[in-house]
Amino acid sequence: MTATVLSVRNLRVAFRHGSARAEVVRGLDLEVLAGETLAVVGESGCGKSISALSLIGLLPETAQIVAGRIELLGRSLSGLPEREVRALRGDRISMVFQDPSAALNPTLTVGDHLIDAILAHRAVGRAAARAEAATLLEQVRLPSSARMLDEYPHRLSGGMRQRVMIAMAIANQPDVLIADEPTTALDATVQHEILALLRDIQDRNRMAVVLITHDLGLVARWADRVLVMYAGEGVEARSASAIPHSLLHPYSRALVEARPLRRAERGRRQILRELAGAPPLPGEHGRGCSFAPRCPLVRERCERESPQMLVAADGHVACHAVAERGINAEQAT
Amino acid sequence: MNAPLDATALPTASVRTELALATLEESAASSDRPMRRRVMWFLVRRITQAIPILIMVGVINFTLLNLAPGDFAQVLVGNAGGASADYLDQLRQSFGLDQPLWIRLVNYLARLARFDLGYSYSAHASVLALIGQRVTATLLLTGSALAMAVVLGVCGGFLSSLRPGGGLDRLLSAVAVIIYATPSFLLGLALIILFSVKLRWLPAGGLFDAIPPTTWSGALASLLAHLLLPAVTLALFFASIYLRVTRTAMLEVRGLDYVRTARAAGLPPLRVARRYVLRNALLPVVTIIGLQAGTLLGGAILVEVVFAWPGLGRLAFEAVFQRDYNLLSGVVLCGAVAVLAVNILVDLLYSWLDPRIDLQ
Amino acid sequence: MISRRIVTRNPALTLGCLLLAALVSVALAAPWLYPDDPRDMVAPALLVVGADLNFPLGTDALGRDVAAGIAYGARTSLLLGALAAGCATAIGMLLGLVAGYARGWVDGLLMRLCELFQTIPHFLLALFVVAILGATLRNIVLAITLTSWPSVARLVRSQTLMLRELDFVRIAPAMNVGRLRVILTHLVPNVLPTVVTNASILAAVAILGESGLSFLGLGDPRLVSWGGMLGEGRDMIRTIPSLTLLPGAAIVLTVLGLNLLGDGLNQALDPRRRS
Repeated sequence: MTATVLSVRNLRVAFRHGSARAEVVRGLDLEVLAGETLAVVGESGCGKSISALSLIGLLPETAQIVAGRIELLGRSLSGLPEREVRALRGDRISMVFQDPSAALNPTLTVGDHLIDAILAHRAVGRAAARAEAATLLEQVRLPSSARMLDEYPHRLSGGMRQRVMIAMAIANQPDVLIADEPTTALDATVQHEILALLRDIQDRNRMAVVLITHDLGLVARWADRVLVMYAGEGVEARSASAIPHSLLHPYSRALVEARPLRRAERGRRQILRELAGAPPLPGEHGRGCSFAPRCPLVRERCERESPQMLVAADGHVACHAVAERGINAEQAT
Repeated sequence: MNAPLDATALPTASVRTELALATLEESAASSDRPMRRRVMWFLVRRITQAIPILIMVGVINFTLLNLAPGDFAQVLVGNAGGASADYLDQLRQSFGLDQPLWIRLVNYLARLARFDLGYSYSAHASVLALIGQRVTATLLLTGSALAMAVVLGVCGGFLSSLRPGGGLDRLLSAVAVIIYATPSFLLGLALIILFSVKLRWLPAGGLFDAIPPTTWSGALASLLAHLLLPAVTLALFFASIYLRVTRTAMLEVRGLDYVRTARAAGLPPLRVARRYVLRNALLPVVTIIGLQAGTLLGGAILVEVVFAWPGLGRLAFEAVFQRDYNLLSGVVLCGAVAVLAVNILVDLLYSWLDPRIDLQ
Repeated sequence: MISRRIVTRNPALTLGCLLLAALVSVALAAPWLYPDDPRDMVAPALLVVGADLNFPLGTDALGRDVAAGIAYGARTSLLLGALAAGCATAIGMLLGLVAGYARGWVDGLLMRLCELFQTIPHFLLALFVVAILGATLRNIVLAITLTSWPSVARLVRSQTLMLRELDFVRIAPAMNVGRLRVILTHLVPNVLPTVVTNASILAAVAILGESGLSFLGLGDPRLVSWGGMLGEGRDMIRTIPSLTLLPGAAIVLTVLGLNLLGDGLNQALDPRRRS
């Protein structure tokens, strides 16, 4: 039985502007098992990145967790003082961001970055940290030479910078790595290498990965399970093998159909081209299902009452239409 | 696992090409050349570029000197108590003052090129020698003021930015705004009233005590005591500028991606602030130092007058009242050289602080 | 309603305007409050503050009324600040527009010229110019203008370079709109807000510069100047510090007012901080 390393219950995150408050994450549930890859999928603005930032306690100053419970390795993060959250951040849970071009300090060398990441959590000497930084470079398949350690970020390509970022993130062998669109800014060939690298490290360190992406094709190939988010809520949580044909939620299906090309770099803009309308703005959610205004299967009940996550096939789905049609909906395609 | 693993080879093909590309870029940027040689070439290039500017400064000096009422011959004669028109003409001839303007300009520039700044009739010495006597005092004053200003301004800006809008930030910003509006001579006089007249802690002027100290350590202590007030006076104005620049830059850098990366790695907040925010926020401060080298020298004139500090500024002041325009023009030229030199140094410093800047 | 929002949102602008309004009132009221020449001896010398209620701020070593001097000094400072800032802005704007619009060798030449004037320490050059041409208001304005136009030119040039890449400027020649017309109708109005804001800072720098010159004894002898009063009061600093501190405070408040006004305008014009 694999252990749960990260679990999130009813997470609510809101942005504050003056007296106005807009909820962007509205009751998110998720669970990550040791060593697995959970993909979180959705349009930009659906709250996936904000959810990720709240997991490592790096929400912008204007945003705030208003409800919910986050547990890392059985330990609740809610109410933990910032000092202790910081001790976990980069140690037990770490994060890789989207754009590697600006993610490294231009005035520090690759080695400085890695050594900083190591020394943030371990009391080792500088020389030992430097030696370890070299092995980290090896792990991300960069040359582990002294010259590489003394190189400045502006002299590296995007793919190499992303490898350095990954090396920083895995410096202390975390249990969970959150990867927020880790390859979107990269070329297609480099993308695959970075993902293969992540998978390789994941297997070696038994590290769980939360892969945040808008690209279902990527999910099908790289993830174990998928969580589809819409307007700040999870709408479908399934095994990744359900992609593409066995997804149940009308929004998930729209995501599959709207993917004209497998190329991720084209995907972002063309995603959901066929789906009319736009998701509700934060803070403007009605009482019913937030997908109802765009849903092809909408029925009277959807406008009244928000659907609950119910067991369906090998996971959970929150949809009245699917619930009415039963598990058989899966065969409908 | 859903996908086959194909990426076990070390390092992969595309990393190899990336590395090759990076190496290519490297040789193009020729950063493998020894540092010393690159710095030397940089200096040669910049000094060459400075020469036309200095020639133009010479032209400005020449123009102003020619606008002065009375020529050099009259000034000399006036000093000696008057003379006949014949004698004046003779003098003009011997100094080449009867030649057309442009020939005199060329002669003037040629003398400058030989480091001949002319003769100061009021001090009866060569201008260059007078400047040489005074330059150390001014360098001491401006150098220590600059160091103080950077330390005070950067620390203040750093503290201010930790909690923008907080009590400390408001206090420091208010103090900075007021100091920025205060003329240096007023600040200097206020400090004299407080520390020399009322408290009697520090001397009000000069370089050393009236009774010369007999030991080296005594001389040093006396010098430092005399230096403190003028240096603080000059420093505070610049500190108020550096405070604002540091604060703004800190707040700007704080929101950048690499700061988020550092925080995501779990670095302690103070280390993030120092290594990832402050380090980069210092770059605009360095730029400002270069831009304000002239202002620093200009400010030194007033401070030197207030504190009877025997530097170039006081020399310029004395020259104004002796109507010794040749001497004054020598100080102006010297000021321009200093500004150019500071800017070259600042650019060197900048390239050292920011590895993205290449000296090429 | 709107005014209250300005006060709370932009305290710098409010305070700056208040300080300047007070200064302008004093300057305008000076001939009416003190009809006589402020340089005349009117009372015993060296009256301290409050000793004689007819001369609330005391008198200086020559028996001149300090209060009258401060009032007339406001006129000098304002006049000089306005003239120097106006001239520097006009010249800088003209050359900046030409450099940014023409580009090429014209731009190169003008920028070298800016560099030249920024190489000579400003106060030293001003001192040189005034010492040689003579200490008159005109020459002081000239000297300060000479040192401050390059910063305006650089500012206007960089804005012009940015603006000329915008569609409505790029398309103008194709629509048979003359160059001068493009500059007047498209560039000038867009550059103006920044330039006006900058002018308030320039006036502050000019007033500081003049006070420095007259402190050294290079002020226009026909006018009362705060810097000059301060310089003369300096000898009595141990006995009557008010002779130094009062004109000093006047300089600080004026320069503070202008700087705050500039900051406030900047903040009001900056779309990032508007909201």
